[in-house]
Amino acid sequence: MDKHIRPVFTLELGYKILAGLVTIGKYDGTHPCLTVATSTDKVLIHNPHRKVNNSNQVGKVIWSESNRELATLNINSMVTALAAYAVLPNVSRDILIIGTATNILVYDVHDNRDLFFKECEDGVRCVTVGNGQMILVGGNSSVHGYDHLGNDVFWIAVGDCVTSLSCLPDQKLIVSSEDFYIRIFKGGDLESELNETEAVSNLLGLPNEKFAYSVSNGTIGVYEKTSRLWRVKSKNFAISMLSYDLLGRTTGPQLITGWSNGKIDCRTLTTGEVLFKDTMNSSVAGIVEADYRSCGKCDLICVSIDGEVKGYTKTKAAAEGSNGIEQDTIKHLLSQKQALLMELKHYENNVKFNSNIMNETESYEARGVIPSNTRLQIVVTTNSDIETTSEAHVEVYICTNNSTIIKAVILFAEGIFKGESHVVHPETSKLASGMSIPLYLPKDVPIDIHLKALIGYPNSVQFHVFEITKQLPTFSMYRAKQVHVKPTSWVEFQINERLQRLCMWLNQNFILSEDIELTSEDHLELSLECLRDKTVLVIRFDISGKSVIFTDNIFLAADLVQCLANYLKIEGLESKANFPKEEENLKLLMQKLSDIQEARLKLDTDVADKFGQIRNLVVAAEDFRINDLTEMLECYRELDNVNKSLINGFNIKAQNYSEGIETMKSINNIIQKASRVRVGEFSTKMIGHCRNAIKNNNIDGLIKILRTGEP
Amino acid sequence: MDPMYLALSLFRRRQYDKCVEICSEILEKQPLDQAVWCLKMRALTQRVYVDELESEENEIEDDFLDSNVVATAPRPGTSLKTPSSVNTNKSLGARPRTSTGRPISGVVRPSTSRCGSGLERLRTSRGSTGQSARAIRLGTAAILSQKDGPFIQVSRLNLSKYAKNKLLNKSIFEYLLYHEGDVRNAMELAVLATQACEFKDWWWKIQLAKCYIALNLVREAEQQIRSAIKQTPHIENYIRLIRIYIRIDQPLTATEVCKQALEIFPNDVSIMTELARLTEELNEPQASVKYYRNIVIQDAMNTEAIACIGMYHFYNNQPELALRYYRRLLAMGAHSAELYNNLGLCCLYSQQLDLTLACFQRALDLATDPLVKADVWYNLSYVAIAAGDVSLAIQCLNLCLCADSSHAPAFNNLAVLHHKNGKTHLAKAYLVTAKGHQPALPEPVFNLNVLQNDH
Repeated sequence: MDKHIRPVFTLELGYKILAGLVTIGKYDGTHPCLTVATSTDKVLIHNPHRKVNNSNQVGKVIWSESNRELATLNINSMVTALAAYAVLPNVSRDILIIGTATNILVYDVHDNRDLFFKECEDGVRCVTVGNGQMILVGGNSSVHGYDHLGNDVFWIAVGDCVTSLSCLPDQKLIVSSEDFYIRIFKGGDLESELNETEAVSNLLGLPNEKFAYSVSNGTIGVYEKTSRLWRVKSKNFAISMLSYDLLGRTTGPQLITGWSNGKIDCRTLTTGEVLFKDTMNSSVAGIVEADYRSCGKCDLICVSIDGEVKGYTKTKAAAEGSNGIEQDTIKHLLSQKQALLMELKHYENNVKFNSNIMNETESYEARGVIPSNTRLQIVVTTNSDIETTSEAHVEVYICTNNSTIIKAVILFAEGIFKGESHVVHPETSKLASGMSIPLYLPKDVPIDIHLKALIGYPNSVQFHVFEITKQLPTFSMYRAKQVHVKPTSWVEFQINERLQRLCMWLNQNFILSEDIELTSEDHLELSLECLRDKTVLVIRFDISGKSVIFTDNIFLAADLVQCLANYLKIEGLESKANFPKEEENLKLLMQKLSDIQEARLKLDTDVADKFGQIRNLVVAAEDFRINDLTEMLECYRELDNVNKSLINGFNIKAQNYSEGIETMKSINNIIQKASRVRVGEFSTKMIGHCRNAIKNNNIDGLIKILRTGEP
Repeated sequence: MDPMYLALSLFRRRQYDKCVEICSEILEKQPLDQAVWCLKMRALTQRVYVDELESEENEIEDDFLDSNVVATAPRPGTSLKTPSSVNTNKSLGARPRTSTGRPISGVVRPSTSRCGSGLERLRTSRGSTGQSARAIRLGTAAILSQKDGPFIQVSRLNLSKYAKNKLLNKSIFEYLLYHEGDVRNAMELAVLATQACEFKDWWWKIQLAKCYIALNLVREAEQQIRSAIKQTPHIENYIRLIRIYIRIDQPLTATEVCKQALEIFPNDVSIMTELARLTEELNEPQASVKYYRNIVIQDAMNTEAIACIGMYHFYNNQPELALRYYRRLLAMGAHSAELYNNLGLCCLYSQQLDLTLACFQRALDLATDPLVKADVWYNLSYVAIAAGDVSLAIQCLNLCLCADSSHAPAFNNLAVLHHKNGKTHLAKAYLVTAKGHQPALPEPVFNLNVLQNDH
């Protein structure tokens, strides 16, 4: 049901705009100004509301020379994030927040003054404002919160580059990061964690606890709480999303998405059905909403990377709209009826054939039908004959219960294949009634496998499709193995739960060849081996409630604790952790970080000094142009040298910077995992302690916190 | 007398050259005497020491090749970077400015003695010296040639060793910064030293900020100063912070810092002076005069404040009051062409004609700078006009143009006078010249329009 909506205004900014860096702010409290970041390290403010040049009037902005509606702000380094929010308490005008790779500038456009300018060691990837006017900055491995004075008031470690932030009501914060997770935090606590197949590039909080997301592989979708309502995939990827009621529906706003090929589409929030489409001449840079024509209602404003701006407005809820819905429903029902009739016909055929089976001499094979009692069975194991195969894996074995064969199998699962599906079709000579499929699971998460098998006979032309859904347990990539030496690292915690229940948990979350049973009265011990790297994992529960997980992998320990806490519905869990290797690693990383920071300072000075030299040389060269041409050449030659060394210096700096980012990321990753071997408030408290320790560069303190959770 | 004692005494009496000589003699005998070495270093530093707070040039327009200023088109009243075109409002108290944008106030301040923007300097090929170079220029002016090579071989100095020595590091730093003008090494020392004292000494942070400013890393300097202020609120620190915000053209932030500082140091004259200057630059003369009055209450001998109040009254059509303030300045011993010029104008407008010419006579006698001389002649032309002597006025204006051939108001006034004499074409030519010299000046444009409409 495409509806044609024409733009209500179009204009050209005449600048190249960075994708995603578009926002709109009411810097004087009433008039919205489109604000974009350009590829020349400037921020552009477009203000169509300026009154005719009247310099006596205070409160009106000066018109710039070239384009009278544009004002530029010099930022001097690549802009990475841009946002405009009312941050000051009791002040309704919006404040512009500009993030660059290393700094954040909170700038009052109206008064031309900084609220604060702060160095963010962790970088700035995205910015939003929420939880009571707190400025939230997503960095390379953490989220920092600042108040309007620039005080650091909030901190959570994320573990990988934050790609997007969005706030929901009641202090909830959604964070997406490059490790493919979407995490929902409430206050400082991790409330839930959703896994996607690729890095999520955009998040948008919607009303009724919904939020929309877009993935860098071209998927967009909507979640309600933690369950996905819908998703669609496209060749292009979404740059910007906004909820706006373009069609004037009574059911609420629609989701507007801007794509990298310039397409803009409008979908319903609940089903993702496309209601309206339009295209810009180049990739979309951002979509915002504001009353841009001063006519009292909000327009939808789309900006492309070439500076094209299009404005759309809400269309009137046309009478034919309801008509359209009726027709639509009838069409939908008709097609459904058609499909059902077809299915019925098939069934009738099959019944007729099966009833005649005694009289027929022909085999099933020729007719393309299979016995009605054919069943497909599925077994999931970890492959035990580890020596024979090259790599350990999880094995999915399917077979039929009669002589029919499996022609091909299509597997759908998220995040374990390169795409989202995997097809297995053996050669014709190897067709059999059973088949095993190896799976390599990269992460310890529960996975739903949707399996479609084509069943028939070797010579059949038509095949029957059997569908099975199987959920793999969280810790599939582990198998039971007797070990004698326990790993030196461990997590110890106290849980008050019957051993039977823990036994159940183990059976549910691991693939074990036979369910383990409680053999001893006073303790339960299970030793396992990881199929990925052959490390050993030992889990031991005592009757006293003392539980220990022995593993060298802190990430695995964190996952186990979280999974267990979730299963037993534990609100808060305190634990002791001992990971000597990680501690050693952390020490090295902290040392490396301080070295890098020191070097960075020196490099910065170098660059600044060279700038000074260049400045002098340019001026001197200009002077010599008048007096002495040979000297001028000398000057320019030197200028060339300085320039070259400046470029060298820059490369070194870039290297240093990326190393610093990596180190910071590893540190935050360890802290995040260490916090997750605790649950609930203990985890939050520990992160707070860690932050203080890092601020004071207290390495020993930090390690003690990792061990005990207390400083 | 013990030569060391003598050297110390000379240092205290600020006879640095002699002190250095004695130190050198001692060092020849005992080359490893650290006390003497330190004293010689301090003497050498003190000899060329410049108070950069007072000598700082206003860098707002120096945005050639770097852009620390965020906004390029800020709202009026939120920026110091106002081109003269914006400044055309003719409200009470608005003062005429010279062609370089400096208010003609009779008070020379560090920030008003500038000579155009960086680009302008380029065009006039006057040559611009970069930040770090300027610091050297200030310093090297007084350096005498040293007989046997430099006193300290900077490249051989083990900075990390000296950075930990609390008795020597500050002297070495100042020596490097002021005497050698070696900002990079000075900064390295500062970085090491501030680490050695675990970031607990605010003095080092301020020194780091100085280095950052010299290298044009304004934002880093801001961070250092803010951190220093957190440790120790100090008037100097606040003033440095204010200067930084002025430099990145955020006068409102600077004003806020002033007010914060005044809460900690109530009625402090130097901070109030900064605040008064800022408000004056922002074209809020009433507020500015309020602060100047506060300054005078605290310090009745503050020349700048008295002169500014006097000027406010003059442009507020109260020349008699202005005269009182200027006479007070005269009584305090100030003796300059500008002051006599202002006195003369005040006398003229308060009808004390007997003193007018005498004052201008003095002003002319004292004026050595051609620009000042031009201004005095320009003002004298008003005296002539007031006396009704048009030909004398023309003479004065011509003399003014002799001293400063780009004096646009003089061209304009000359044009008006010639037009009165019936020489329309000449007038037109003068007006066009005036417009060419200072396009932002409203009078020539207006007059040209009038002329055009007449014919």
